[in-house]
Amino acid sequence: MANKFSDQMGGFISLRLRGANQEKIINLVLARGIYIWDIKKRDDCIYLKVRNSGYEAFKTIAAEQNFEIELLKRQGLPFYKKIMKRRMGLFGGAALFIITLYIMSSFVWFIQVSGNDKVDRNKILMTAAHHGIYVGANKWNFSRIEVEEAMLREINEISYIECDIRGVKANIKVVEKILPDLAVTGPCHLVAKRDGVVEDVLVLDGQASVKAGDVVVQGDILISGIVYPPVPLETDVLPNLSPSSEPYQVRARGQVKARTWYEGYGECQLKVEDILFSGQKFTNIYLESPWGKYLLKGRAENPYAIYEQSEKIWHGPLKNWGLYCLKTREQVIKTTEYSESEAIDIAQEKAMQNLRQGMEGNLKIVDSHIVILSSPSDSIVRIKVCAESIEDISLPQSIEGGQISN
Amino acid sequence: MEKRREIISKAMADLLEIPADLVLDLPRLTITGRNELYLENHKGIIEYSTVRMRINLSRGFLEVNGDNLEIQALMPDEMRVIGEISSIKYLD
Repeated sequence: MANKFSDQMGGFISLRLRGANQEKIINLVLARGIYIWDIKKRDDCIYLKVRNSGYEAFKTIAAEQNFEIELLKRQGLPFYKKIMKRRMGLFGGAALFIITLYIMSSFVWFIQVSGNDKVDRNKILMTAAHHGIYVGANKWNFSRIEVEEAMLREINEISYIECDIRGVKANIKVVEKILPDLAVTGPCHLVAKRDGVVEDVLVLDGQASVKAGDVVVQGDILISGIVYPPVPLETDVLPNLSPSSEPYQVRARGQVKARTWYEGYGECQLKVEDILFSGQKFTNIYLESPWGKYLLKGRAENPYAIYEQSEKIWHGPLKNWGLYCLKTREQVIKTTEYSESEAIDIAQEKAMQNLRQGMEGNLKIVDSHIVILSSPSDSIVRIKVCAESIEDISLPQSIEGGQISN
Repeated sequence: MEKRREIISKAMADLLEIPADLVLDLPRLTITGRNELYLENHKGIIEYSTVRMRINLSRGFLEVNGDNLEIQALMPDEMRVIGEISSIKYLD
């Protein structure tokens, strides 16, 4: 059976035939190998379709048989040529658009780096650029796998890399290596990592240098890694034993709990002026060219008294050409007045936040008190919060003096 | 003479198990529901109207009766007829 697509490509004509003995013409056409279809009989006429290539032969047969032919419609690509000629601008524009879109989409315009925490983003971008992936790079000029392998070789801190090119965007996903912690080997002391009053000492290995109630400062040895053998009492000495009096070194282990102090400071003005965004904004888009900036969209003059501006610059593959986007947001000043008690609450909250920042982990505060530093006549309330906590202050330190991390 | 050739062809088709429509040029009809008839090995159209169609075959002819009959496609060996078909008859 005939293909509708080939009919459309070659073009076809709808006809109406009027005449006697219509079956005869159908058989004659069939014998000549002319393909006809959609043959319908209405009244004394026959409607049918014939290919453009077979139309001339059909017309000759119809004329020989004294049939009257009426051409109803021409369809298919050859008959659209006239329309295409008339609308050359439209079709040319569409073709130009598709070609431009194709060319523009064959470049990398955006690069996104994800998964990096310790490795610098710029380092990844520079390495990627060195191997072919940079803003404006042609996608056919680099091999994704080769770039991945080269980047993996060059950046030692990365264990896996994936360059996913999606359209004009390159997603560089990295997985960083997790390096093992430094092995803690050899003898060491346990020293105080901060000032405090010792509450409790638990020695697992080594020799305690402090006892409960002692005041220690940062760096003091709490449990010594140098152990001196106990000096035996004269009564205990057996005549055939000669104990060694030489000190020996161990890796000090244990826990030294001490009462430590933390301070936090906070303040609050009784009259506070905040700068807030009103919600009004406008965006200007400029075309950046070697001859200057031209405003494409937006307002030429800024109507706001107080405002904040943020800018974005997008450079194309041609240097000195690009788009410059300037976003302006209106700001308003909001004045808030606090009563003294409100200001104290706010300052206290800030002081507690400040204090918490200085504390390690989730230490439990066992005691705290607040000191108001400002006088009642001041326009600002200043508060100091002092807190006490009990924590393990021991920190391993090699006997030579260097610190060892756990 | 013609009849003898037909007998020999039929015997050969039976012996070699070849489809009869290939050897004897017999018509092959495929009817889908009652709205579509696909016919192979026809020899032209004898009569065509919207209610009756007579199609020439190698032996005799086929009469298709129905309503709104149309020839959707027509080629030297095959044709597709659509419409509401009520009966199909073989006539000599």
